[in-house]
Amino acid sequence: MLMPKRQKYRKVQRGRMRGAAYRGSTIVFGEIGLKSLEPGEITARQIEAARVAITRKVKRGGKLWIRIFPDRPFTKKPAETRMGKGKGNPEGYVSRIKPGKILFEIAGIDETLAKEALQNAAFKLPLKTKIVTLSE
Amino acid sequence: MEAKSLTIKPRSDRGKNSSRRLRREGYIPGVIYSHGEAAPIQILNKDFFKLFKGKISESIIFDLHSPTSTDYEEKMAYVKDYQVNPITDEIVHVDLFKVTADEKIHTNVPIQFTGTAKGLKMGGILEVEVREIMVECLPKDLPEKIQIDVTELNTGDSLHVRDVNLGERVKILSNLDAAIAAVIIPKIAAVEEKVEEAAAAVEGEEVTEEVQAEEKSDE
Repeated sequence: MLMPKRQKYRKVQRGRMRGAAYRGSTIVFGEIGLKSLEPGEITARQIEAARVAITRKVKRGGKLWIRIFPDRPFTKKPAETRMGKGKGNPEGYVSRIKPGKILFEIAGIDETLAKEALQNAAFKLPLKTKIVTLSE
Repeated sequence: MEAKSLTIKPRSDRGKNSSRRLRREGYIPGVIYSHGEAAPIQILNKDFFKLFKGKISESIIFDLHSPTSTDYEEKMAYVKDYQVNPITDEIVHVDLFKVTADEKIHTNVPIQFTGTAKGLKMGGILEVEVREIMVECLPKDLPEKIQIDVTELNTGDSLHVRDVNLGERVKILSNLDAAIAAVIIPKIAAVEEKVEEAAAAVEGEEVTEEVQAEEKSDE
């Protein structure tokens, strides 16, 4: 799973997510991509599940770019714990996604297969997405 | 090159409220400028898409036509910049640059790849590094597209900007050493395949994807 090599702070505050993704909102490397349509968080586990779904569908050939990285730790309190007594322990990492962000890009395979692969990846993600192509 | 034209109207109202109103009415707010002079304009969305057919290019020079103003008669322009809504992909704003026939312009020309590279048959993929080349030329010499034949590319071969020949009248301003496209063997896919095979061998054929994902995370 993707995770940062080192981090400055173990826990971060939640904050707010507003606006659209202007950076990373166009296809740069590949020919076809998956774009988010709503804000949210994608965990490293979900990114990995989506990546596996794509590689399984594509099987051979092609190249995949993952345009997001889970760099933000999230915490969780242990089960059956009373509220209070401080913030929970870090459980994993998420990538914060704004609408318009390109999540995955694929190149080098048939467009129909690429679309099917990205659709399979979209099923693994907690956000609404759409498939976008590099218009000719 | 066939003659292309775009109808524009001068725009008097400025600000986001009037711009939003314009967009609702089917117009794209924009600006036209050159040599430090700028004027706000509006373009009918339908006309703009008819001209570009989906792909906005900075290398298409068109004649300007205005039903309400004589300022734009016999003037040419090209799209210098445009803003897109990242979610809906609608054009939010357009910058047009006025050109004169005897003045050189700097603009990006898109590259169109033709043919199928030899290396693709050997399992390689065509990785495109550069999709546009910046050129300097007179408006009449500006190519709409640069066609590059990739048929001769084997695996490991690459094409560079210096390999592109656009004639004497068109000067290339992009970095000449930059690679345009290369045929590569995707390494990552090969590694992933081995990992999946190893996982399948341990768990049998009916392994769920979640289990495999967890296994890889443990590795």
